[in-house]
Amino acid sequence: MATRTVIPFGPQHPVLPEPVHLKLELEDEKVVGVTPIIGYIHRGIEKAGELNTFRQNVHITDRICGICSFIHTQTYCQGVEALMNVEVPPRTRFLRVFWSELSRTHSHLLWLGLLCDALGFESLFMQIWRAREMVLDISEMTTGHRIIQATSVVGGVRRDIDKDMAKEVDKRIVSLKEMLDNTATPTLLHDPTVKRRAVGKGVLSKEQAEILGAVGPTSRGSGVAKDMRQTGYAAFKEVGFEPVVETAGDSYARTLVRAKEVYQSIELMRKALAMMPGGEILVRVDGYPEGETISRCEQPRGEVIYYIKGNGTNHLERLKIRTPTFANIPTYLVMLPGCEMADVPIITLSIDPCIACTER
Amino acid sequence: MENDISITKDELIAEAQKMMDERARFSTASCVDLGDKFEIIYHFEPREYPEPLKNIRVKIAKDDTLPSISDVYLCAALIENEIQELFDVQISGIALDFQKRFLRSKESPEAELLKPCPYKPEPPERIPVRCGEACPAGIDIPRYVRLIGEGKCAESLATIKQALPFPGILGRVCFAPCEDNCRQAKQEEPIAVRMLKRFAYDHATYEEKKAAKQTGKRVAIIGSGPAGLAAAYYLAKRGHGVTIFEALAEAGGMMRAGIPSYRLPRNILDDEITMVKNLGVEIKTNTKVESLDKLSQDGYQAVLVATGAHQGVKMGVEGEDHSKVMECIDLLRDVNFGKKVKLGDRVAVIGGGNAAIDAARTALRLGSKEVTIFYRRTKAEMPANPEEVAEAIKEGVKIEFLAAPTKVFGKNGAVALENIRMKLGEPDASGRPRPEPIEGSEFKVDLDAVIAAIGQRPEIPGQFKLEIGRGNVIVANAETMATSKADVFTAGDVVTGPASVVEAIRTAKLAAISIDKHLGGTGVLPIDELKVKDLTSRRTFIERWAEEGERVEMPSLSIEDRLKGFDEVELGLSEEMAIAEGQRCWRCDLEE
Repeated sequence: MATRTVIPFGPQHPVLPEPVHLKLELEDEKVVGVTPIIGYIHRGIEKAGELNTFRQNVHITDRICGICSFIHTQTYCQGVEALMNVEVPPRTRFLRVFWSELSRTHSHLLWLGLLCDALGFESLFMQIWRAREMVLDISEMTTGHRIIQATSVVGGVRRDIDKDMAKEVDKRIVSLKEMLDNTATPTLLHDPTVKRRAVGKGVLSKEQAEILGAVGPTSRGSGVAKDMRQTGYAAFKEVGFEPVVETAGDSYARTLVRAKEVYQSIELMRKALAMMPGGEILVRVDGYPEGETISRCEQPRGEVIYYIKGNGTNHLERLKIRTPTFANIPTYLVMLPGCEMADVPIITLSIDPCIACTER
Repeated sequence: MENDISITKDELIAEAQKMMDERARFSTASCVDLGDKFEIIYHFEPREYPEPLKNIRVKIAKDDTLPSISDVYLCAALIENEIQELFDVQISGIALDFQKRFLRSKESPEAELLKPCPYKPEPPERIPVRCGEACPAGIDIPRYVRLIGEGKCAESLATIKQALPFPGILGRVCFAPCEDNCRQAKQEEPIAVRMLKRFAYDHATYEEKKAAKQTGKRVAIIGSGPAGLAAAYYLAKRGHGVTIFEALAEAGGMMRAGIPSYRLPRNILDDEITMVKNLGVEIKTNTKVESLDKLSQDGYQAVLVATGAHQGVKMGVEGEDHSKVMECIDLLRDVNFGKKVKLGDRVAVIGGGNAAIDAARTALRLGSKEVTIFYRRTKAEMPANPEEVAEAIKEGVKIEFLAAPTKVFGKNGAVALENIRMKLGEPDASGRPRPEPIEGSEFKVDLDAVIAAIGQRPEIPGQFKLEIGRGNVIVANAETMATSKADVFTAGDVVTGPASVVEAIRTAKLAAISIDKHLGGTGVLPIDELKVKDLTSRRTFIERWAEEGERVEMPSLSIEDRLKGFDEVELGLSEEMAIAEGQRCWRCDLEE
C-alpha cells in the first residue's frame, strides 16, 4: 500500500533560480497534492511606488525583474502617459517594440537554457546561453546595460538607435538567428532526450488554463490564443503580430511556444528597426498624474497588469502590479498532481517562474 | 475607468459567479486604502479578447469582513491571501477548493471543474539487447529470463519456442553466446541463460500447433541433425510434406553421434525428435541419399542438404595410420551408437576444441585411467567452452598445453607419440598467436590409444553435383541458403563448417523461409502466437543495487558417479534457484 509523504520542494532547489516553496504530497513516487507557498522575497515595491515620485517609479519598476525589466517600465510609462494624456512620438513606440522584443528574446533564451540545465543537458544549456550572450551584447550596445535597460521614461525613451547602429544590430540579430538555427533549435525540436523529459509532463488543458487564469506561454501552450500584443500597444499594430499557439498543453508545448517566440521576436525586432520612422524620441511631460488606469503589456511570461491611481500630486496613491507568474502559479495545482516526483522540476520550470516579479 | 461596476460585499459572490458563467478570466484584484475604508477592485478579463478589463469594485469598512471568491475562482485565493497579509483586510473563507469543486481528491471525489491531469505512465519501451542480439536463433532472452523470475515456466517456454524449436536440446548443449555478451558480467556474473532454458523445458510443457492445412508440396531433407530437424519443424508446421533421409540408424545427426549422452540424455533428444515426427514429418533412417536428381524424380519439389560435418581432419603427422589412432568423431559415434570400444589405460587426445574435451571425458567413462589432452596453444586460446574444460579437469583429464604431435610410432598393439614443445608467436589470420615449434624440445609419451580431434569437415557426395567451396563446404547464398542448383537449399555445418547446434538452427530457419517461398508460400515462419503479458514495472535501481546477486551454480553429479557411466552430469536447477536467477537479471531490454 502506498504511503503518503510530504516533501518540501524548494525554496532552495538546484533547478530553481528563485525561491518558491512547493509542499508536495506524494504517494510513493507519484505526486497527489501540491501547495505552492510564496513570500520569501517580498520587497515592498508597491509601497515604494507610493513613497517615491511618479518619475522615480520608472527606475523602481525597472528593478522588479532582472529578465524583463524593460517591459515593466514600458507598462508603467504607458499607464502614466495614458493618465496624463501624453502621446509619445511614433519613433518611441517602435523603439519600445524593439527593446521589449529584445527582452523577450533574452528571457526565453535564458529560460530554455535553464530548462536544459534542469534536464541535465549541459551542452545544450551552454549553447543556448552562448546565444543569449549575443542578445546581451546587443542590449549593451543599444542601451548601455546588459540586463536592466533603464531606457523607457515617462514621455518616451532615453536613448535612440541611429542608422549605423541599426545596421549593426540587424547584422547581429541575423547571426543570432543563424546560430540558433544551427545549434539549439534542431536539438530542442528533435532531440529524444528533451522530448522524453518534457512530452506529456504537466498537462494543462485549455479549460483548466482558462479557469485558473493562466497567461502567456503557459496558456498559449494549452491552445489559448491570447497575447496582449494582439491589442497593438506601442507599435505592434504597425509591425503586425500573430500569437504563437501550441495545443498539447504539456511542458514540451510550452517549451515550443517559447522557442518559436524567440524566432518571432527576432522578426519583430528586425521589422521594428526597418519600419522605424524618424523624429523625436521624447516629449516633455508637465503636471502630475490624476485618476486611475490599467496598463497591460505582454511580458515573456505573460500579461503584466499595472493598476495606477494618481491623485494629482507628485506621488501616486496606489501602484498595483500583477505579474504573469503570479497568475501562473495556480496552474501548479493541476499540472503537478499525478506526475512523478522526478518530473516535478521540469513541470515547475515549465511556467518559467519569476518569483522576484511575483512578490515584488 | 471604463467597464466599472460598484457593488456591495453581499453581491460579490453572485457577481463573481456571473463572471464565471460568462467565462471571464480572473486577472487579479487590487486593494486601495481610502483612509476610512478599503476599496477592493476585482479585475476580470472578458471572454472576447482583447477587450478592456471588467472591474468590480467593492468598498468595505476597515473592520468589516469580505467574503472570498476563491470558491468561484480558485486562483483568486492567492491575491486574496496577499491582500489580507499586506492590508490587513479580513477576508473570510479563503481556501483552496473550499466547496470541493475544483480539485478531485480523496476528500472531494465529486469535483467537476478541474480534474488532475490524466496520469499514464509511459509503457517501457523494449530495446535490442546484447544477449538477444548474440543469440544466433534470435530468442527473446530477457523476456524468458524475466518470466522464469516470475515463476511462469510455461510462458517462458512459449517465448523460447518463438525462435527455437528445440529448447530441451539447447538447454543442455548450447554454448550460450548470450552469456558471453551478458552486460551483467561487467558488474557481477552473467545470467545463467542456458540453465534457465533447461529449467523452462524441464518444468513446463508446450503444445505444438499443427499446420492448419496441408499444401500438398513435398520437401526432402537430407540429414536429421539440428539443421534438418529444425527446417522440417518449420516446413511441417507450414503444411508441407516433409521427409527426412538419415544415413545412420537413428535420427539426430551430430546431436546423437557427436554429443555424449552425459551432456545430452537420449530421452531428451528422442522427445524432441518425436515432437517433430508428431507434426507429420517422416524420418527414413538407414537411408543414404545418393543423388539429388532422384529425389526430384520422386516428386520432391525442394531439397534441403543438411548433412553436417562428419569427417575427421587428419593430423598430418608421420605414422598417423597406426591402428591405435582414432578419429574423435568416429570414437564418439561408436560410443553413442552403443558399440563396445576399448581404449586402454593411457589415452592421448590431440586438439583443443569441444570435440577433444568430449572425447577425453568419454575416454574416462570408458575406463581409461590416464587421459591427456595435447594442445598446441595455451588455455586462453582454446576454442572449447571454458565450462566444459573446467568440468573435464575436475573429472581428472590432464591438459598439456603448448605441445603438438610430430610422430606416431609403435608396433604390436603398442603406440607412442612424439610431441614437440611450442611457443606462441605472432598472431595469425584468426587473431590467435601462431604456435611455433621449439627446436630440440621433442618428448615421447607411451600410450594405449591416440584420439585425433583436430576438427571436422563436411563430406559431400560428388553425385550431388553442388558447388563446393573452401573447407569443403557447400557454396550457398548467406541470406537465402540457396545452392548452385535450383530447388536445392542447404543448412547446418555442411554450409557453415563445424559450428554449433544453435548456429545450425539459424541457417535452418533461413533455409525454411527460402523453401517456403520457393514452394509458393509467404516465407513467414509459422510461429505460434505468444500470449505473454508484458511487464510494466521493474525493480527499482535501489533494490537492484542492494542485492548484488551471485550466479546460480548448476548442481551436478559427484565425480565418482559421473565416471561410472554416461549419466547426465548436470542435474538441473531447483525452482527456487531458477526464480532467483531469473530475478537477478537487470532487464537491459527495458527503456523507461
